[in-house]
Amino acid sequence: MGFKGKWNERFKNPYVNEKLLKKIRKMNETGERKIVKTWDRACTITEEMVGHTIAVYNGQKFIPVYIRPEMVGHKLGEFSLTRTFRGHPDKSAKAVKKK
Amino acid sequence: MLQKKPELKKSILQQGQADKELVVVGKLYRTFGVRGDLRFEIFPPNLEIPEKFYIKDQKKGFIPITVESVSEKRGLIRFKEFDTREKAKKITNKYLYLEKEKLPELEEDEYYVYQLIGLDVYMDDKKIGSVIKVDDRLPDVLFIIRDSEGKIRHLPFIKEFVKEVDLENGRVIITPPEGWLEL
Repeated sequence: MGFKGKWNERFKNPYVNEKLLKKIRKMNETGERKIVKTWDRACTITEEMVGHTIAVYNGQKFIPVYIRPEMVGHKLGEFSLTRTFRGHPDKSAKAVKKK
Repeated sequence: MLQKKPELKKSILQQGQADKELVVVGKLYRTFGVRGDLRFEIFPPNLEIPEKFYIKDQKKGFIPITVESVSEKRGLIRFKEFDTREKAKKITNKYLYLEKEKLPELEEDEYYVYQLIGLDVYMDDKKIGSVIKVDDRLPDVLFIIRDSEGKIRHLPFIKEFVKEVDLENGRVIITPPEGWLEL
């Protein structure tokens, strides 16, 4: 039985999907900004991914996640929720801000 | 003999009229103690607790209720009309309504959810659908859009992708990244 999760990352390098990183690096060279699909929710977000949009699978759909500098070190799956959002009441006065 | 229906009190707003004016500003949860206190939540930021709220009753429509005491620190509210535990249990898990005019003004680039739901979504001067829900569970808010083919699409509500929110004309202009339509 080995160590898992965050504990594991103290001794080893964080897990990053190589195929995804390869695509991101290629786009960084060309300056392209295209959505990249991934099923790998356990992939750690690296600095190279900042500014890209990654569509992360939540079991049903691909949810586009715009990578910000604050997200570095987290996993992609943290930003693509798997539970169904039932919604607010139609006339809800909850405030949301455009970032 | 036909019995006359009891007339609704003047203070109770007509359902159709109230729909235009009232918005959901909070929610009541379970009771606390024996004096009719209820746990509650208020949605808009910086809203001063007014003297009156409205709650929706299936038979009577919107009923005004008067606030007796509030403890925002403890998250408790009590109403004059429901001053015992048994009475208060009748209004648990109900939404609190308030007039639109009493809502505080928001900062720039801040919107109420009711303003965004139903807006038409335009991309390159072409209508692609409308906003049906606004998912605010994560710090990055998501627009849930139903397109003309009935497909559900997600788009982060950020400056890079949402260029303009035009509330007067009821539309949102988006500039999604390449490949978004193929998702």
